[in-house]
Amino acid sequence: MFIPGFLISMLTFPGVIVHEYAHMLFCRLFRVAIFEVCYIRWGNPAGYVIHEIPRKQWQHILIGVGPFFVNTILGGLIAAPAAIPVIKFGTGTPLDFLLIYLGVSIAMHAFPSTGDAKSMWNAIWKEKSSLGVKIAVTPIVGIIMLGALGSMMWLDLAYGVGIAVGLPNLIIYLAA
Amino acid sequence: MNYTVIFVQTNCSGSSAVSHIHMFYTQEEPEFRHTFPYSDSGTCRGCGKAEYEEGYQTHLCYDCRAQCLHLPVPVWIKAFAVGVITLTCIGLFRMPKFLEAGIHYARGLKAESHKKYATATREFERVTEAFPNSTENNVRYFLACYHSGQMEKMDWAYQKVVGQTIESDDLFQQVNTTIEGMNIFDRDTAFVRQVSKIKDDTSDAVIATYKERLVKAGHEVAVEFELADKLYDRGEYASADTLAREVLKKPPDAPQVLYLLYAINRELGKYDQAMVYCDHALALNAEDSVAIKGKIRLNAFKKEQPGETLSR
Repeated sequence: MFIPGFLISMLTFPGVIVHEYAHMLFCRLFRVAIFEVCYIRWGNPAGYVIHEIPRKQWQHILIGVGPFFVNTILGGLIAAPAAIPVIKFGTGTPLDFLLIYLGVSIAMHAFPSTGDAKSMWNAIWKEKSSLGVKIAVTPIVGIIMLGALGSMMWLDLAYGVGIAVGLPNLIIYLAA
Repeated sequence: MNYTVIFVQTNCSGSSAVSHIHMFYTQEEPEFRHTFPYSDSGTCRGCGKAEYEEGYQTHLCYDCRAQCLHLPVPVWIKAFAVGVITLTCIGLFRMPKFLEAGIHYARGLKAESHKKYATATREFERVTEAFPNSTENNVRYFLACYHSGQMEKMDWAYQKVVGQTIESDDLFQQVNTTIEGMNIFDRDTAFVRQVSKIKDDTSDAVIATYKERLVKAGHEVAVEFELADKLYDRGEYASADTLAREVLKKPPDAPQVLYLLYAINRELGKYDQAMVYCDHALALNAEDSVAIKGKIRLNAFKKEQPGETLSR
C-alpha cells in the first residue's frame, strides 16, 4: 500500500521520539557534544540529532545503532504483556490496545535509518579506520541498509509486530 | 566550509523517515555560528578559552561540552517520557500474571495434543483464573473436562461457553460432537426420570421394565446402556457384553461404555479383550485413570495364570 513515509512517522510518533532520544542517550554516554535535537517534526526526516564526530569509530557506530537496542527493548516491554490477552485469549481491554500501539510504534522505529547507515558507512570508509573495523562493520551497515530499504515493504512494521507479538510467544514457547 | 549533513532519503511507502544527522565540519558552518561564536583557532569554540578537550575534532572545553551534552529537553517530551515510563511499569506489573497464564495455556495445548486430558484440564483451569472470559480457553477447558470425566468442572465451562462465538471451525466441530455424545447418555425423558428412582434395583421387574421400554421406543442408547449395566450387576455377563457392544457402535468413543466392556470381559476371563477396551480408552485419554488401573489389574490377573500371553 502506498503511504508516504512521513505520514507513517506521524502516526507512529512515539517511536520517532524514542529513536531520537536513544541517539541522544548514546551521545551523552560517550560524551559526544550534541548540537541540535529534533524529536519529531512534520517533514522528512521526522526527527534528527546533530552531534559532533565521536572520538572513536565504535562510538560512532553505537550512536547509530543505539535506537535498535533501546526501541526494541522498550517496545517489547510495553507491548508484550498486552499482546498476551489480546492475541492469545481475545480479552483485550482498551489499555491493552493502547500498549500494543505504543509498543509496536516504538519497536518499528528500531531499525537505524538509511541516514544512520550512511553516516556509519562514512565513519568507517571515509575516515581512517582499521581493516578489522571495516570487516566487522560493513556487514552490519549492509544489514541496516537492507532493513531500511525493507521498510518500503513494511519490514519495519513487521519487525514491530514481531517484537510485540513474537517475543511473548517465544518466551511462552521456551517456558512451556 | 566543509560539512556534510546526511538526511534520510524520501521514500513513499510505509517507511519510517527517522534519522540522526552526523555533522562533519572543519572551519565554519553558518547554521551553528550562534552556538559556537569562536572560530576554530586552537581555542574552545564555545567560550574562547585556551584549553579544550583533546581527542575531539570539535574544540570544546569540558564545560562547553557538558553544556552540549545536556541540551534542554522540552517539557512535552518530559511529559511523554513520564507517560511511556508509567505505561511500561503497568505492563511490567501485569507481565508475570499474563506470562504465567500464557505458559499454562501452551502446556494445556501440548497436553491436549498428546490426549493427556487430566493435565490439560489442570492447565486450562489455571488460565481461567487469569482470563475467565476467554472463550477459546473455556472451550478447550470444557473439552478437556469432558474427556477426563470431570463433569462438575465441565458444567462450569459449559455455562461460560454457551452463547459465545467460537471462531475456530475445528473447535466448534469438537464442541458439537461432544455435546451430541453427552446428550446420547443424558436424555431427560419421563422414562429416564422414572428409572432414576430405581437406579440400584436389578430385580427381574426392573429388567423387564427396561426391555419393555426398548421394545416400545426402539433402540435408545441411554436405556440400552443402563440395561447392559444392570445385566452386568446381575452377573449376566454374556448378555451384558452383547448389548454393550451394540451400544459402542453408536457413540464409538464413549468411555463409560468402554469401562463397562472392560469390566464384563474381565469377569468373563477374556483378559486380552478387556485389555483392548482399556487401550481404546487410553487412546481417547492417555491419562484415563480407570483404564490405567484396569490394565494394572489385568496384568496382575494374567501373572496369576501362566501360559496366558500379554496383549499389547
